[in-house]
Amino acid sequence: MAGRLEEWVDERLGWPSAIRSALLQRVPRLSWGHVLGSATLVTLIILILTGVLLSFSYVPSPDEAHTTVEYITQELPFGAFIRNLHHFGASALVVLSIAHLIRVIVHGAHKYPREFTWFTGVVLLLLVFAAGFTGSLLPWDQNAFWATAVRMRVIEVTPGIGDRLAGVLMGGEELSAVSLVRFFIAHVWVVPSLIVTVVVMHLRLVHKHGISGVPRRGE
Amino acid sequence: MNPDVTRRSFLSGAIAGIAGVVATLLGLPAARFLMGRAAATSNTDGWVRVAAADSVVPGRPTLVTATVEKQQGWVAAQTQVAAYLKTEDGAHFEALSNVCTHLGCRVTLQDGLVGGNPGFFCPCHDGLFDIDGAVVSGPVPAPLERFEVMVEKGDVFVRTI
Repeated sequence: MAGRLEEWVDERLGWPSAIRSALLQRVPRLSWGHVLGSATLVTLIILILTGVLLSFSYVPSPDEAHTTVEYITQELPFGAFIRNLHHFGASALVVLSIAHLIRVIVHGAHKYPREFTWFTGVVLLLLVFAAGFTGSLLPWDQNAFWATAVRMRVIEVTPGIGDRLAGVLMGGEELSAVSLVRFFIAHVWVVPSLIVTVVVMHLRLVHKHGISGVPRRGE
Repeated sequence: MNPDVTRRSFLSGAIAGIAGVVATLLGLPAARFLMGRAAATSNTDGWVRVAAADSVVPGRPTLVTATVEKQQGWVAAQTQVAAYLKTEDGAHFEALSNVCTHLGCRVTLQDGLVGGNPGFFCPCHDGLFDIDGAVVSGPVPAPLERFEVMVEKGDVFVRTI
């Protein structure tokens, strides 16, 4: 029965074959370090889901941003749980991404023919930093505001384009209501859509080249 | 050892089970989070003080209003509650809504409308109610709504929800 249903779906949509080809691969000798990539992906999915939930009750304006964040945390059922999952999940994503990168270097998994898996991974790490940078302003408390103000001063000393870059990010010369909306849109639309796009490329390459095993002496 | 259970089928089942547990642990809080306070019961009992009992003239409906603060999401919104209070003896009260039952316009008390007596007139589509809120003429489908009334220590309270 289940087999016939699967065949019916497969003939029309091709999902079962696609899932089988994605999941049922021969793998070489692996280490526990190989779970870091999957752990990063699962953390990213949790961040996207909790982020969507939070955005239902968040208003990116100076008058309401902090009020709505307090409302989410104090008033909404499981609000603190959802927000903390997003908050600590974000830290976990940075830690896991870097751990994944170190594992890849240690095992030499960035070499031929996987150079572009590595490149897309590095781009993803930068995008993760961008997500953290734009997201940390959104609670609009003293910590968020001044931490971002300091980071903007750092961006301003970029040679040549610093002032202009900071101006574009902030939508003006200082952190303001305009900056908050820009950071919000960057955090919920621009950066996540780039991350999802590059994750798809990254996973496609992992699938194409197969998982690289733990290197052994003499190989 | 059950020979039907292979290592692969056991691991597939275990992974599906763990995934189900994780999805439930995240999904149930997420659903409650999205329902928000809509699922919570109101913490007010709905009674609103609208007037001092001795400010209502016996025999003639008096329009009284009160401001109620309602919390919706993170916004504390103020809404006006209005009612016509009627009393014959200054001790027993009735409260009529001033919202027309046709399309929700506000009715006003006007003299000489119903056989020489005062009545409630709705200016939107010429709806007419008598002084007890019963339909007299016009497109109105039902009498004016009545609110529960309570008198406590010389104050009149109505419940509009």
